[in-house]
Amino acid sequence: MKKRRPISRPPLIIFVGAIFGVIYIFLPLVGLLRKISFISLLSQLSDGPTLSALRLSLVTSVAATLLALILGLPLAWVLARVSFRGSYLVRAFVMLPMVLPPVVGGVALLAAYGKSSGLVGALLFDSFGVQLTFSPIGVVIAEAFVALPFLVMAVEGGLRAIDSRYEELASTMGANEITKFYRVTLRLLRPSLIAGIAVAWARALGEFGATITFAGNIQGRTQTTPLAVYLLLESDPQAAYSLSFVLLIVCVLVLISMRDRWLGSKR
Amino acid sequence: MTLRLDGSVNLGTFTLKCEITAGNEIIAITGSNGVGKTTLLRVLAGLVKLTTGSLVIGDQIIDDAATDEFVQAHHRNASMVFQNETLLPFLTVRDNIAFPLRMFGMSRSQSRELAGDAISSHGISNLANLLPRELSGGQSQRVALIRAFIRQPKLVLFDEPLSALDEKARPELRNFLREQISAVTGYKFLVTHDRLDVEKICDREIRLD
Amino acid sequence: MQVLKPLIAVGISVVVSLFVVNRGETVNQLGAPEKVLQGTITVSAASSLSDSFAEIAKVFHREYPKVKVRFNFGSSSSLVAQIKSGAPSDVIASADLLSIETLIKSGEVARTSYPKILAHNQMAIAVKPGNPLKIKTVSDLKKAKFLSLCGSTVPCGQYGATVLKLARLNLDESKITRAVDAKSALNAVSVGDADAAIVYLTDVLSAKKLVTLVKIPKAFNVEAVYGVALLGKSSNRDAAAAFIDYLLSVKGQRLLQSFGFIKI
Repeated sequence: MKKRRPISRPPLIIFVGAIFGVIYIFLPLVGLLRKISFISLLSQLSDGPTLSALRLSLVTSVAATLLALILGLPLAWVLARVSFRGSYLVRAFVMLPMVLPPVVGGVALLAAYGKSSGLVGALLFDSFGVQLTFSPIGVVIAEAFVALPFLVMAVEGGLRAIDSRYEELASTMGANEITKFYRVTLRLLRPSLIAGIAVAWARALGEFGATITFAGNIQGRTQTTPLAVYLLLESDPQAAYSLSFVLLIVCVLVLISMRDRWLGSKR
Repeated sequence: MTLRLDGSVNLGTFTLKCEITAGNEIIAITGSNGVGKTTLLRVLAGLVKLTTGSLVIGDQIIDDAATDEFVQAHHRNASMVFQNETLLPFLTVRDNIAFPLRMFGMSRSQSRELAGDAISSHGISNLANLLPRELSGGQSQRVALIRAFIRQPKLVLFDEPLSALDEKARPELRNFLREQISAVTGYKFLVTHDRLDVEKICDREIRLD
Repeated sequence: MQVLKPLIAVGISVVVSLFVVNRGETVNQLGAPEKVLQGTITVSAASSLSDSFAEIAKVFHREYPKVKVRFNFGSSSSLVAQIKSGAPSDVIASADLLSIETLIKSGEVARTSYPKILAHNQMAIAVKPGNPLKIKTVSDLKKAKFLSLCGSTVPCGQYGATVLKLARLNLDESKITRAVDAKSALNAVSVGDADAAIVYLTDVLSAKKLVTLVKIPKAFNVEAVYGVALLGKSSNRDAAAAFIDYLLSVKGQRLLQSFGFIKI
């Protein structure tokens, strides 16, 4: 099943469009790069609040990705493999956070997991004294909320693309359901899983609106890097640019590191 | 002991109805395209449930639509080989052959050792660490057959295992297949379009229509 | 919600303008002002002005039916940043005078005639409806598990900090959540889980149904002075100046006061 490259060249207009597309994305990044003073980069980043924002972002985005994975993998499996009435509705709801303005997402999260008026949140607080808002866990919840659809989409697509014959073969060779999932399905799914994890993580890392609305903006506690960037833009733009630059570099590094699996480079 | 299948499978618009009694002989399943040869193998393997009727081996009920008794695929000790892409694409030749042994409860090192023995006894040691996509068509079918016989199967279910091969590779692999399949004491079914397969390998022919 | 309000305001003013155009013509027949103002003006205003300005725009429209007022609400400091980076705007109305001073320094506002003082405001405490934590004054804020303040660089955040300082209340940073502007600081109490917020009195008054007001005693309070200025790059100076005049007129001032602003 090797893919062959088309012999005919695509029309010129395609190239022109592609070049403009690249410029469109690249120009703002170059502009940002110009604003960064690399001499003071390190001192700005080692500043207490900045450093704690970076650390918090790293921890919460990884945790949010894990949460999205734990919830998203079974969800994607059901959507891809189980045919039931209204599955398209479930899919539509799962994809909703992708189009919902993040601030609205944050308000919706408050209505569900908020301490004072949340459907579940009030119960959690009254019975166990657990408050999710204004806590790092709240940040994780907000980030996972917006990241989940990206993971589900990638994994569901991957599951649909898997040739079910391999899984059936594994059954005939004596693999029970769990072994089959673990040793065959998951293994065949690996490229889409990695892609899904990468986009979900990147989305979680850049989350702003849902986080500030649901988890607040408490320095050292719920102030993630994007929130810090926003506030710094007014008080210390230089530091804000530096911080954005770090986010950018981290993301680019991660995406490049999985170029084989996701960005579709040739082997 | 005999295998008795008397029932039907309904897959949406397609229905397969058949009645088969098999002993230890090698049975060729023939018939035109779309008549349900592959579906028959899938019923025997336990990948599809019977809609009506039953499948019985000896006095053990394997699948009974009426009572909902069903022995799952991974408990049937079946060996399937398809026309192509029978090997798990992410495992090396050695690990592919070791896979059924592992599932049978053998340790990782033991199963790999046994697989290695089988590979060298068939003279393809050079392929041991290659991935399926690095093999030729003939090579992968040979490996698939080695894997199919690595543990004594109770059901041999081959779906046109030789038809994707070129004329040069086919006779040799046919001999190999005949040798191996004759040594099996279970129930043996070979779906094929090729008269030569029927004549050279099989003892009996069941024509579906 | 905050995003919706200006939209609704614009929507309403459009509807009103459609309604008023006909009447305007009859007025013209009876002898209208010599110079008919027209076109669109963009007013960048502190978010704490959003409710009152929406109302004022309606009335202003009745007087100048051909002028369309568009609002851009945000924190005063973010408005300054936007204007400095070239955002098209005709008028700025900020929650402090310093923001306008900054624009004067960068040449966006002419020093000679601006800033003009628009109104005064005070700070107040907003708590959950019914005041469950029984917060009576500033020092009671230590009872709050989470206090919502504006970002430390925006005027309402600075005023809030001054209030805490005057009351000699030193709160741990881990209890303070920083909102992007005054309206969202209040939202953290009305929609979110913050126990209290220090915001403008006018904001608390306009959200009376959602939060309970706790007044801050004069000794700890600050007087927020709102300023307004015409921007040098305005493309519709006459209409913009008319809007500023209207804000400072008796009618405009009375409207502002109805929203809780204090007379100049």
